[in-house]
Amino acid sequence: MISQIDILQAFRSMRQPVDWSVVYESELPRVYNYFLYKVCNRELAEDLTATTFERAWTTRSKYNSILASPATWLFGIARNVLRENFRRDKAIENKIEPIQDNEHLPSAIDVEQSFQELQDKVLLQNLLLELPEREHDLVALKYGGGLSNREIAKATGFSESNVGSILHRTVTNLQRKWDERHE
Amino acid sequence: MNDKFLYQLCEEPEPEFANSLRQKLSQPPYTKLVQDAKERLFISRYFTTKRMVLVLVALSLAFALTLFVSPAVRAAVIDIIETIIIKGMTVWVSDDVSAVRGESETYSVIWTPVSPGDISTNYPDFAKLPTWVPFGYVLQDRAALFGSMIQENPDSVLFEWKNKYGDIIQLTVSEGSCPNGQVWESGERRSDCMYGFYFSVDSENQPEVITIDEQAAILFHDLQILMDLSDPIQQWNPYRGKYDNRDPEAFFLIWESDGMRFEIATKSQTISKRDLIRFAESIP
Repeated sequence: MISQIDILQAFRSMRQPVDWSVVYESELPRVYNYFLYKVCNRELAEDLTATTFERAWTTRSKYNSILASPATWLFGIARNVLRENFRRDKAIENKIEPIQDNEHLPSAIDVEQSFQELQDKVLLQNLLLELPEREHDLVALKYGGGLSNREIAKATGFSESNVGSILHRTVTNLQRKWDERHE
Repeated sequence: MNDKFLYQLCEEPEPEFANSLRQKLSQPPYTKLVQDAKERLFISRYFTTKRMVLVLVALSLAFALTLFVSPAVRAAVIDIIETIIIKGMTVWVSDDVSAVRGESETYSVIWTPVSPGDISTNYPDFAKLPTWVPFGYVLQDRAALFGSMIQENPDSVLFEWKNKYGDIIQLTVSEGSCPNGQVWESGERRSDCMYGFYFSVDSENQPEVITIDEQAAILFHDLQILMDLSDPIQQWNPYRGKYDNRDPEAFFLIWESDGMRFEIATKSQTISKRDLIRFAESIP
């Protein structure tokens, strides 16, 4: 439901043109990390991020600030891009492999710590990839994209309380599995 | 709840990637479109008018406080920029990208609960049951009959299939053959419609036009149009339908054949486009 306050705020923002270079700088890492959490593969995340921004830039003249913030709008496009790519090429699912941090090899001094960090990352990626689609998406939006529950609700269509409860349940389960596998 | 461990995958994009994408976006065609749009914005009274209409609609909504931004409201301000016509099927495409996506609503009509057997016996013209359904889906005992109570025949029936996971397929068979409205593209009113059916779609996520038994059909992704048939049976039953164009698990397929209109609505994580077409093509 749209409240009067939302509409007044939207009108105010409508008067100010969007600075797309600022949007690019602020949203690129968030969109990239959203994809990284979804596909757990840097190369694929970069491709999907580029596609999202190219599409957004092509259609940005149609962006309507009364209906969504640039972030919500971008994440809407990002989710579509992801779905379309999965639909178009089911094999893309098989291409998903956890990140290999080869390019950031640890020095001799902190080998043990870096190895543990790498192991933790791989474990987290595996836990994410085991999640059901809906839960995986919400976790990626929250922890990768850095969206608030309210922004996630706007981007996904779930109610804010629904987002909160799904995330709480999912994170609790993830935490339990994380602890189990660390023992 | 300790969720710190979930942040450890976050990283900055590679500077090389960020710079090359920035550079790409700062060149045509990505810059040209915005420039064109800005020019249009300032020189075109049409855009100003459109914006004013949107403002008025939004203000009305604010005063009403109870209204969702419904497709009906949207239809009043919609800007049609493209029309796709294939084999007589028409889709109106709007440039109102953000406006169309992300809205949902429920509504009510009257329906009569019947069994699929009743429909086969009493209204054989509407008993268009597919001979193939995806694995695990079972035809439900409760179907729905729509139409005026004073009419002898219904103008629409609905069948429902469910699997054990609660996934749903609904098939609606209707009289009348105007799935995209009662008006031809020329503006002339069609004479062969029982009632109209309008879709406004955005230019970014256009529906697909596919063929079902050589008939053109329109396939909408992420569009949920489902009816809730779980209400207790009464003499008059509210039909609680749900429209939601944000549901990534939903499909909606619509086409006409032999003067009948067919609509398949699904909500399932497992049904593919291929399943949907096979299901549709097995309808006799």
